[in-house]
Amino acid sequence: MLLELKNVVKKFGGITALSDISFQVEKGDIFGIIGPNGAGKTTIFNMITGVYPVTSGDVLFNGQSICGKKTFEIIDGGIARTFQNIRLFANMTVLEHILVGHHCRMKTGLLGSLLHTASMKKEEAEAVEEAHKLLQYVGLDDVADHLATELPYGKQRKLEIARAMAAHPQIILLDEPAAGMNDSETAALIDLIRGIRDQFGITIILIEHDMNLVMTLCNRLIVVNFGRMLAEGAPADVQNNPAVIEAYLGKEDE
Amino acid sequence: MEELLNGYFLQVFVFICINIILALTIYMTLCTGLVSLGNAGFMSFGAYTSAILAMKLDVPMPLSILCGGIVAAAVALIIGIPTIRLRGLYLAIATLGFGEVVRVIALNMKITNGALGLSGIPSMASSLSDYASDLGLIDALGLDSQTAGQLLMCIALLILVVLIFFFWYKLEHSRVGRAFAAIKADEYAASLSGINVVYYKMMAFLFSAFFAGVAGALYAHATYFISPTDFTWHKVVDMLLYTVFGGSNVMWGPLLGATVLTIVPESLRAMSEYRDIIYGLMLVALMGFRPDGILSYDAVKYIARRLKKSPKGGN
Ligand SMILES: Nc1ncnc2c1ncn2[C@@H]1O[C@H](COP(=O)(O)OP(=O)(O)OP(=O)(O)O)[C@@H](O)[C@H]1O
Ligand SMILES: [Mg+2]
Repeated sequence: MLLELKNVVKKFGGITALSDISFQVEKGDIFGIIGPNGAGKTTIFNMITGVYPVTSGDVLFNGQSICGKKTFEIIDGGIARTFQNIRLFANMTVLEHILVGHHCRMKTGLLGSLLHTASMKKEEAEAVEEAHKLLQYVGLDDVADHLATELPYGKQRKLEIARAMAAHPQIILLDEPAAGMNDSETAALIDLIRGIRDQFGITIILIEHDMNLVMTLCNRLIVVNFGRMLAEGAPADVQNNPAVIEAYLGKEDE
Repeated sequence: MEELLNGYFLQVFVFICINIILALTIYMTLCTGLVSLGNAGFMSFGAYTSAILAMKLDVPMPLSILCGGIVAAAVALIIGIPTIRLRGLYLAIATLGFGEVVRVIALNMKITNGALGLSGIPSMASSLSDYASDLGLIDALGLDSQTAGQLLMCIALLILVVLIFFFWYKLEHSRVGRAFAAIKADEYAASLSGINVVYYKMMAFLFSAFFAGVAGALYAHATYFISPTDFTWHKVVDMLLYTVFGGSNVMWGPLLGATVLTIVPESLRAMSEYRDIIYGLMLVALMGFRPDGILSYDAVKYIARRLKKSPKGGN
C-alpha cells in the first residue's frame, strides 16, 4: 500500500469539511477523486500534503504516518502536487521553476552556495540538464527561457506538473489538471499523465470535473459529497451507483 | 585630485558605503519577501557592542566589528524564532517595535551611557593610518596622517561593500537564492514544492541582522560618537527608502539608491530650508513614475544588453 487515509476528519471551526474519509492507493494507480464543488476534494490533498493538520484520523505513506509532518518534509518524502488555481512564480523562467521543484533533491548547502564550489557547479549543471530533459518530455523545452507567467494557460498547467515531477516523487497529486483546457489539450494531457505513470513509475491521484478524462484514465476512484465518501471503486461501477447519479443530477452539463 | 581628497568628500563617501550596506540588509530580507524593520535595532547592537569592546577591553577593531555583527545576528535569532512566521505587516510592526525597545534599553543602561551616548570611540581612520605609517605607506604617499587615515578607511569600506555585494550575489545565484526567490514569489507554492520556508527566511533574516550589526559597528568607528538617537525608526525609514528608491528587486537597486539618497541631501545643504521638500518631492515623483524603483529586472537586462553590444562603452 503506497498511500492510505484512515478515517480522516477535518473541521474548519464549525464547518466539517471532511468526515470519515478512508481510501487506499496502490503503487501504479491512477486514482480519481470526483465530487461536486465544495465537496472537500482539495481539502483531501491539503490533508495529505500537510497544509492543515487533520482533526482526527491518519494518513499513512508507505505504511508510516505522515500526519504532523511539515509540507516540505512530505514533498521530500515523495509526494508532490499541483494546484487548482495555478501557482507559478512571477519573474521566474520555466527552467527555474523546474530547478525549484528539484530543490529538495539537491545537496549543496550554504557554504557550497556561497563559494560556488566545484561540486556545487557540477550539481547545478546536472540539475539544468535534467530540467531540460524533463521540459522536453512535457513539451516545454522550447520556452525554457520564457517567464512562466507569459505562457498560455494550458502550458502553465503542464509546467506545474513538470515542477512536481522534478521532485522525483512517488506520488503526484493533480488538482483539476484539465481545468480550462480545450478538447485537444485534454487529449494530450491524458497521454501525458499516462506516460508519467508508465515511464516514470509515478502513482497519480487526480481531482477532476472532466468525466471523460476521469473515466478514461482512472483505474479506481472515489466520489465525495459534502465531505463524505459517497462511493468507491472502478469507474464503471461508480458511474452506475445510484447515490452518485443522484449527487450529480442537474450537473449533467459539467 | 587634491580637492577630492578633502575631508568632507571622504566623509560623505564613508556614509555612502555604510548606507549601501544598510540598504543591502533591507534587500536581503526582501529577497524572501520579509519586510523586516528591525535593522536600526540590529545596527545599534553592532555599534554598541563594537564600541564597548574596543573602548573597555581594547579588542582590535576588525574583531570588535565582527563581534558587533555576531551579537546582532544572535539577537536576530532570538527575535526571529517567535516572529519569522508572521506575515507582511505583522512582521514589519513586530520588528519595528523591537527596534524601539532596543533604543529605550540603550537609553536606560549604564554601559551604553544612556541618552548621553558613548563618545571617544576608537576611530577607524586613525587606527588605519597608524597601521599604514608603521608600514611606511603614508610618507610614500605624501599625505598628512589624517587624510591618509580617512582615505584608507574609504578604501577599506569600499572593499567591504564589494565583498558583501559579491557574497550576496553568489548566494542569489545558487540553490539557496532560488529558494529565496521562490519564497518571495509565492510562499505557499514554494513550501509545497519542497522548500523549507522558515529555514530560508531565518537565514536571510540572520544575514541581514549580521550585516546591519557590522554597519552599525562601522558607523560607531567612523563617527567616534553614538547615542540612541542615531538608531531611531527614522534610520529604518532611510534604509527602506534607499532600497525602494533604487529598486528592491535587483541588487544594484540598493546600491544606487543609497548612493543617490546620501548625496542628494548633502548637495542640497546650501538650500537647507527646501532640502526636505525637494527630497520628498523626488521620492513622490519616483514612486509615481517608477513604483518598482529606478532599477528593475527589465532595466538591468536592458543595460546589460547595451553594454554587451558596445563593450567599450562608447558614446
Ligand atoms: N482553509 C479553510 N478554512 C475554512 N474552510 C475551508 C478551508 N478550506 C476549505 N474550506 C471549506 O471546506 C469545504 C471544501 O472545500 P474544498 O476546497 O476542499 O472543495 P473542493 O471539493 O475542492 O471544491 P472545488 O471543486 O470547488 O474545488 C468548503 O466548504 C470550503 O469552504
Ligand atoms: Mg478544489
